Amino acid sequence: MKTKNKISLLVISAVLGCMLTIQFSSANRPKAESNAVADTMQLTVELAQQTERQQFLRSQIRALESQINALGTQKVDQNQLLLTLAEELDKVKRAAGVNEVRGNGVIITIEDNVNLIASGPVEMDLYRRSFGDFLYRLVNYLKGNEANAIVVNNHRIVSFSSIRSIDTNNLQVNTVMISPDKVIIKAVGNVEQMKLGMSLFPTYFEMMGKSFKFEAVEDGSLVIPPYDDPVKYEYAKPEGDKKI
Amino acid sequence: MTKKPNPRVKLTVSLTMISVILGLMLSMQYKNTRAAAEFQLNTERVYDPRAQYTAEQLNKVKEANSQYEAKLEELKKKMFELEEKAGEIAKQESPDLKEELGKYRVMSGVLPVKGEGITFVVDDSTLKEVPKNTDPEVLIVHDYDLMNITNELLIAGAEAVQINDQRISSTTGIICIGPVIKINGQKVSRPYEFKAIGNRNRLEAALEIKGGILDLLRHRTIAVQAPKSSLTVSISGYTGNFNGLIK
Repeated sequence: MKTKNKISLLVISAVLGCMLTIQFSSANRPKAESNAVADTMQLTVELAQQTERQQFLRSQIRALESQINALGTQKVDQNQLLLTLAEELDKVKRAAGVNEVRGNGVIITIEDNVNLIASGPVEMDLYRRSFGDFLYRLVNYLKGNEANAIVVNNHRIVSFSSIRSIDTNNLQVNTVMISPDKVIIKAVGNVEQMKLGMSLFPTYFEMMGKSFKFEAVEDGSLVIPPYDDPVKYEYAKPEGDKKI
Repeated sequence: MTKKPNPRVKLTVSLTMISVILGLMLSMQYKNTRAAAEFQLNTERVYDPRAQYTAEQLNKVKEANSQYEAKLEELKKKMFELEEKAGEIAKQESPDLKEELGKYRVMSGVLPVKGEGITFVVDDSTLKEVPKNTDPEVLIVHDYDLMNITNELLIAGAEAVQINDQRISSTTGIICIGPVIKINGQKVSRPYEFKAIGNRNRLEAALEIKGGILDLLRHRTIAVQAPKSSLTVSISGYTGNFNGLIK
């Protein structure tokens, strides 16, 4: 073999070896991407949230301290005392869900759709039985995405609200029977955030043969009615209550 | 008689083999050097002083927030006692004011409460290995498990519910964000301790009913502690801003 040929062969073989190795390494290389940047971002977001929460807690403490001071010195001024208590009552009623709320929000309509029912999967009946569970999840995801007042077919969601399917034809919200054929949820809060929160749900409801439509209300005109059933606590007593 | 290989062919084959091996070795060496350099870079990123500083700050803020929450709870109790007294004074003018305040404070969840009820703990499966043909997801407690348990408790008439240190209010969301469960916007970690105030027999029966929520969880090998009933279950107050409803 001529020297020229030998050199050529040597070079070609070396290149081939390199290529084989690179190919082998690339195919088998474990993903070495680091989560460090993502972790730092997550930490920063969480720090911002906790700092915001701290500001809220401090403002609540300041407000309570000034209320306590005011109540302590209002022994003689009965009118002022009444005013302070009435203001506080209005605030807790709002938080409890027994006051009307108005603002921006979303209106979600979930209703039976003949076409979806006709073309649905064979397990549809089973899915339809879990309608209540998924409705409860949707309400949860709205609340977890900055909804501050929600009503389901005119039943206001409060701290003790429950939703369940009795069977495919009967649904209970706040222990009141409603028809599952058409459910309208209205929620006031951060519209964009709520849209994100509900993004997964249309598919679930479609599997139950139900269409999922939503409308954003951004002119502040969405009204959420108050919870208006009688409220009575038999077991839960305030910590400072001397009756316990 | 075997044919003797041509020395030129033999030489060519040997040379080719040696060259290929040499090429492989060179490439491996290059790759190893690069991988080592990358690892060093990544290590520097993991121990990024900014991330470390942020984590330290976060821990400090969280610690301070816990203290503020405790202080807020104390102040709420004090406020409740003062309002009770003030309500008595104002009774002539507005007889229902005191009762209304107490009732709606409990309903909103802002006031720590106690009363008869149940407590129990739910945690991920204790299985060390995922059984064959089993989706590993079923061995983990998800947001919807916590939601379903809460819903069941409320259906059974629970008047107040708490998961770990998060009180269920009118705006409480239990949601998954990636691998994390958030309640009231706060991260909660396993194990999940439930506290519920209400008729303890009814609450326990609703959870332990055959084919009920706890049965379903146990079927998935989720670790579920049997509900413990008590005459005095204490539940802390909600400390959030009701998703902006209360300024």
